[in-house]
Amino acid sequence: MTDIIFSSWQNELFDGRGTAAPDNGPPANLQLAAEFSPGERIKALMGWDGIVLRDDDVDIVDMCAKYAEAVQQESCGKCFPCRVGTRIVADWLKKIAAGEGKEAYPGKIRDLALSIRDGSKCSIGQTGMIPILDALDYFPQAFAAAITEQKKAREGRYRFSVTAPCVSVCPSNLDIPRYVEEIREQRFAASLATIRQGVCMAGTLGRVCIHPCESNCRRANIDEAISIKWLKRYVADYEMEKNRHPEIQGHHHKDAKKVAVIGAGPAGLSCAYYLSLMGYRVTIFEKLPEPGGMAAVGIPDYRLPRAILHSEVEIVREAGVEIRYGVEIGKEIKFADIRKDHDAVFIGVGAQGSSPMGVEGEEKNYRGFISGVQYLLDINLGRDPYPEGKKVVVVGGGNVAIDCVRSSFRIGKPDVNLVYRRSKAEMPADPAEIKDAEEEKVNFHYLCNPTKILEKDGKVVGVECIRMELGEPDQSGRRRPVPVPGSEFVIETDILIPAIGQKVDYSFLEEADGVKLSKRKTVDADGETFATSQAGVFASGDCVTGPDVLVRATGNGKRAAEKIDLFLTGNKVEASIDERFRTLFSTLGVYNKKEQLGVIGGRKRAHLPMLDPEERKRTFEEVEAGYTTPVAQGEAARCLRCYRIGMIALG
Amino acid sequence: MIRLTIDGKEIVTEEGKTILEAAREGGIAIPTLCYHEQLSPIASCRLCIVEVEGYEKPMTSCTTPAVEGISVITRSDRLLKLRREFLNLILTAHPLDCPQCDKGGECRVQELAYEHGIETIEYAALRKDHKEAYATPLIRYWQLRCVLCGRCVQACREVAGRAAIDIKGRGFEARIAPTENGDCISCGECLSLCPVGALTEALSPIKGRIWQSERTDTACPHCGFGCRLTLNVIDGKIISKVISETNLPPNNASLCIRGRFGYDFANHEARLTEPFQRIAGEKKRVEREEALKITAENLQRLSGLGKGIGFIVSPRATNEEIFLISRIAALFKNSRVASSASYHTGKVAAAFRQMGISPGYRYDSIRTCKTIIVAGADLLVNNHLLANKVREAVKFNGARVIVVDPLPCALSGIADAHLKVTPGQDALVFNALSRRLLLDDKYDKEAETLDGFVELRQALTADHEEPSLMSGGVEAEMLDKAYGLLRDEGDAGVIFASGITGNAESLAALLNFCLLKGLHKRGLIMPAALQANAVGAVSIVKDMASPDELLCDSNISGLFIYEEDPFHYLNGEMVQNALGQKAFIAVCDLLPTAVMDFSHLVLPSSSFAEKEGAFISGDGIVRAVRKACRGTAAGYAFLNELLDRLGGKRYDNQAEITSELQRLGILKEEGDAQEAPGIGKARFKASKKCRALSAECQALSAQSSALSPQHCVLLSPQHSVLCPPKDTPAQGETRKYRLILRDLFMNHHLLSFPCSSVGTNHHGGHDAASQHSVLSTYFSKDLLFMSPEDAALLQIAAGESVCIESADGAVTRPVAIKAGIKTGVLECFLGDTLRQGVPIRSEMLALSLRPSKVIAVSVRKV
Repeated sequence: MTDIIFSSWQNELFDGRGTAAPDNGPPANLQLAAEFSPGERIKALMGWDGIVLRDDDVDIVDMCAKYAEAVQQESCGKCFPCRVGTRIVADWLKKIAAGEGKEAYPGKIRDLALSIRDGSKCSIGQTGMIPILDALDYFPQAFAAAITEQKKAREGRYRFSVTAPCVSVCPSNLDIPRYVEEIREQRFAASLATIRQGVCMAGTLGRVCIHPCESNCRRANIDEAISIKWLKRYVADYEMEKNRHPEIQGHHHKDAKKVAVIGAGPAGLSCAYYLSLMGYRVTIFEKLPEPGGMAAVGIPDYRLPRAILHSEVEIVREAGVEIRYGVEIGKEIKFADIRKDHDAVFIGVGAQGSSPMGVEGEEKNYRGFISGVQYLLDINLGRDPYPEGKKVVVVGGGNVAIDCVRSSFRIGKPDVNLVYRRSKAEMPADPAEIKDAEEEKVNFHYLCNPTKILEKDGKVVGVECIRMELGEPDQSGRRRPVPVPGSEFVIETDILIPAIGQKVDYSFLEEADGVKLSKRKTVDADGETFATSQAGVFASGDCVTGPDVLVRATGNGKRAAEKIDLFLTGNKVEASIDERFRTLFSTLGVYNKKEQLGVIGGRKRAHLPMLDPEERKRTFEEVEAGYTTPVAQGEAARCLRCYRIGMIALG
Repeated sequence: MIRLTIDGKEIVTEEGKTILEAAREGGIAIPTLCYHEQLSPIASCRLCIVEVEGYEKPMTSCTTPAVEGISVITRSDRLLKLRREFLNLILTAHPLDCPQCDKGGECRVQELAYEHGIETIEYAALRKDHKEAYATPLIRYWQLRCVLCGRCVQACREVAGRAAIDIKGRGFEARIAPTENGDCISCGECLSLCPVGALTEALSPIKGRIWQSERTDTACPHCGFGCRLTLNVIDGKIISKVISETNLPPNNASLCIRGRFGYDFANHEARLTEPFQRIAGEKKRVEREEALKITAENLQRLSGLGKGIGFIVSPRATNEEIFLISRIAALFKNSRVASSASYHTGKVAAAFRQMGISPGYRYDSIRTCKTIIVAGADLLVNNHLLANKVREAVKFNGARVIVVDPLPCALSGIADAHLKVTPGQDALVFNALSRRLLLDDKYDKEAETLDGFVELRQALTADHEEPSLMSGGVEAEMLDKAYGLLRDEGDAGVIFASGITGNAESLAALLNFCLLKGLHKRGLIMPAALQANAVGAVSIVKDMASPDELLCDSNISGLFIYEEDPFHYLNGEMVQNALGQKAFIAVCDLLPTAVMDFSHLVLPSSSFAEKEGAFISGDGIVRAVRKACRGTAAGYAFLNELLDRLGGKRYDNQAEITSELQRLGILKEEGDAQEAPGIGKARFKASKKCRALSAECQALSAQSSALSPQHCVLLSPQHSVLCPPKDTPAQGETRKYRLILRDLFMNHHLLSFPCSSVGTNHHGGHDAASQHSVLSTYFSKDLLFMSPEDAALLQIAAGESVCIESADGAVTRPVAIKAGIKTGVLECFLGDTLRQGVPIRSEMLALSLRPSKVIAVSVRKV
């Protein structure tokens, strides 16, 4: 960031204007991209934490006037200071910028802006005046000159966008404060419709999403983060329980272009749903008899009841999407034929193959050695994968591993163990899941790793493990586990389940199809356009990123749909303005963990009632019940509505 | 309990309260504008800001929780400066309308500006007046006066459970506008809560200011819920509007369209003022003394000839008036007293007596129910406040709602299960639920000690499989869902109305179910009362007859009709023939009615606003009727004189009637008034606050004080449950449709004449049609509805005419389509007699000789 000449961002003042060499440089953690889009340079930024300036030819008076107008435009009107106050501030600034300013204005603007900052209900008002106050403080001569000389300001070219800490990290770009506010206002159908603007799997995400939004929730700075995920679950469940029928438009023109989607997992369902709403005729080809991908076969019913997924897939079908089950590309139909028959293809096959552990005996196919994904698939399809086995050892530390151990109790296996090469603190699984597994009495063996599978008559009878200790951190930042020599020991077992990672099954693609793979053996697709090396073929989700989270698959599925739309309408396939702002804001950073809000909290988040551990481990019934109406509303009322506006001056 | 300090004073309060609530409890006043204790905090005005020691920013006390140990300041230089700033912002572009604004003198902004010493408005900004129509023509929205506090939008959602209005536009241009879904039911919740004059009542052209009018709390004369309302009266004569600010139970300041806007008939210029005789079709005015003489002489003469004397008394008359009539009737050897209260409340009373169910359930117990069944009660047209109570239960207690009704109703939107039962077959639904309770062993074990248990169990559980007929037209899934909600522990409540009582078996089955579930002990059995004093009428009149029975009784030769109009709810031809057989008919009423055309003597009565007395509402509580307008209670005076003239005792002092009713065990003394006003506004009203009578009424059974739940008797099904109830198509019954009549028992005063008669409405016309429609339906020009599926089947488009044929007649009318109606069912609102030129009410009533809410018809396209 060598070209920043001024920054008041987050109260870390850096003023390098003019010829004087400044003592300090711009703050090290200030990350402002040089360009907004190719050819559009970012000359300045006005936003919720202050002003950042690169070029001194930016007319600060003009920028302030435009920013204030943006704030008034975004003001929801529900509180007096922002609704009326920002109108008055914007009017005064406009006058100054038009060469009609009066001497008293800057002082009056300052006073009113402070009242708006201190009195507004949400961040639009609270932060909307910050850059203006900074401008008045640090650029007083610009205002004085404009007023004394009564001269018109130089008009610049600006773009602005609204964001919020939670929104900026949601991989599906959901308008979180809005849907939470709609719950507070008892507008549950409207809330669900807002959610559906971004994802079509509200009930699923409401149960299994890893909720990065909650980790970026400003409410946590005063008491506890909002239960955004469970609120999403509430409105999805409400629709189902009250037998409401959402209005989904699924009309297609008979000449509509056709798109094929491979895989009915979250990425595929999303892509298909949004393409269909745009008017395209979409067909999903799914090799399993059930939709949902990893969400169906990988997530057990006690976390995600199948009925939820089915009702969501119904909505996708009502949007006009055709789903063909039991059709495996590469077997029943060739990829090349699909490409020929459709105007575009989306690949969303996910990563359901099991990564090898690198253990002796692994490839021998002993009875009782079952991959984690296969184990869960069998259970979710209603069959015990290995009835003779009574003792289970699962190797791995992610959610799939935890799902395997918890499901094992539920199919009647009495002795369930988990082996993980690092310690509990490094486990990537959801901490809530780990806790639930502990309550259900899974035996955890930390800091061990399997070395050899022990067999007798072709059946697994045990696994030899070696103890590990933690050494230097690896590229993921976690400390690398190192075997302790001579510490081998044996765990007796009849079922051994590797659940250490998943890989993409790309065998359905032939060389002639022209779809290249990445170095990590995933489908290679552009990060912005989701285009593969083959024209008209797009891909996103786990098959591109490797195993990743559901909410990113849904988000990128929708984005891919938008890119496919650009492609099919003959437009340039590139990132949209909104996407560019998302990148800009996420690099800049929207959530400030250290921010002192200056108000008292006093309301903790509401928890979901859970079934007793001894009861619930024997059943696949959902472990958690959802919120009731009054609790949901109370929780939604805690939201601080942290919308804020970022505006850039472009050169 | 937690302790905190506010302005140096130690306050103790419960955990979960806000600082504002704690402050109010401790007697510390914090200025507010948007806050209202009936609503969740809105926090839009920002005036209630306080400072908490240790925290930098001011916070709104209405949303900030009271936390143990904090120290709060409510007044400081900084806070005062901010509040004045915000008030200045509120007043920016707020027009100086005070001289002509309805709210002058009781406006929150006026009060706050005065309290805070706002002398000049600092700012100026332009706001465009979009002049958009509001959600209902009964209320006018003044956009520029609106401060966007948001109370109206929140009230519409939280209290009324609708979503009729919302904020439209952004920033300074934001305003309140109707939503697209046309949800408004003109309940006036928004109007009632508006702190300024942005929402004003648009019905009456004459308003008067608070210091020019007298305000009296009284009881609403329409349905039997028992709402309190406040009449605003000018010059002691004219009711200019109804307000509901005093937060009195049972309705806690909420009303429905009738309560809030259905007062104008009391001012009507067509009201009767003098008695007259009808001789050969001509009216001949007589003096009151003469009228008394004519009445007494004729009735005595007929009685002397051995003829019977019949009395039909309105279920909207006061206890005192009904009492006088019962005393008058007792003076004749052969007399009967009837009331339209017999059709619903009377049947309920009889059933309760027979089954030993103790009546008198508090509305507040609805809130504690975990599951609530609403059966045969749409709650939109009648007893709307019950729907509000159910919504409160959902909001505060997470209650589940089961609706049993073939038509969409007020609670369809929040129902967890909507059982669309075939009209008249509700018995099958409740029998099915009872059967499952018995088989699953989930019934209340004490029910085993009740008479009839063994037979009931035998009858319901005889078959191995639940025959499909048992579901009464309801899908198995839906029945499963409903049962799943009812099966477990937790208080359950049942609210029911005429959709159930129209069929004796349905009522029996429902009450059996209630007893099996133990709802008479722990839960709620609430029959909605359709008329303001139906319960009072049924208590005071022993052996109440039904009006059609009485009219057709050839022994009855002399007839005295008090504030009723049989043409309003009975087959016109039948009534006319019956009236022709009577030797003497006298009618006493407020406004001209159809029955007067067949009477010999017409006497003027008074409006509810001129009466002093009491009603008994559906929960058995006595509700005082207070005189709000000058003018004599003409009806009471006449009855009193007549009673005296006929040789009975005079009751010049109404307290004597009260004592008499207590002596008879109809009223029971209970202690002080339970009602206490809530903290509604910054200032309290003066002494005109109404104190309702404190007596509690064990109304439905004279012996009920002795009855305890052990005496409950289960009513065994009359037939085996496999036998179809009478209403299903029997052999040869080809009529596959069921027509359901709505608004059958609405207050006939609302329909007699077009209202808003006091001059023309100077707020700028709504047309004549909407004048009428105001009080009967919700501005819909459509009155007859069918389901989209049936319309498709019969190939009828919306607005086309259909011919409806019953066993007794035929009607041709245009029909509209409404989603949600069960197939095979038609819905007809008997709204306005004067709609579309031809009275729909009498046409539809002509379809059935016997009074019936559900009529079997065939339908075809015309």
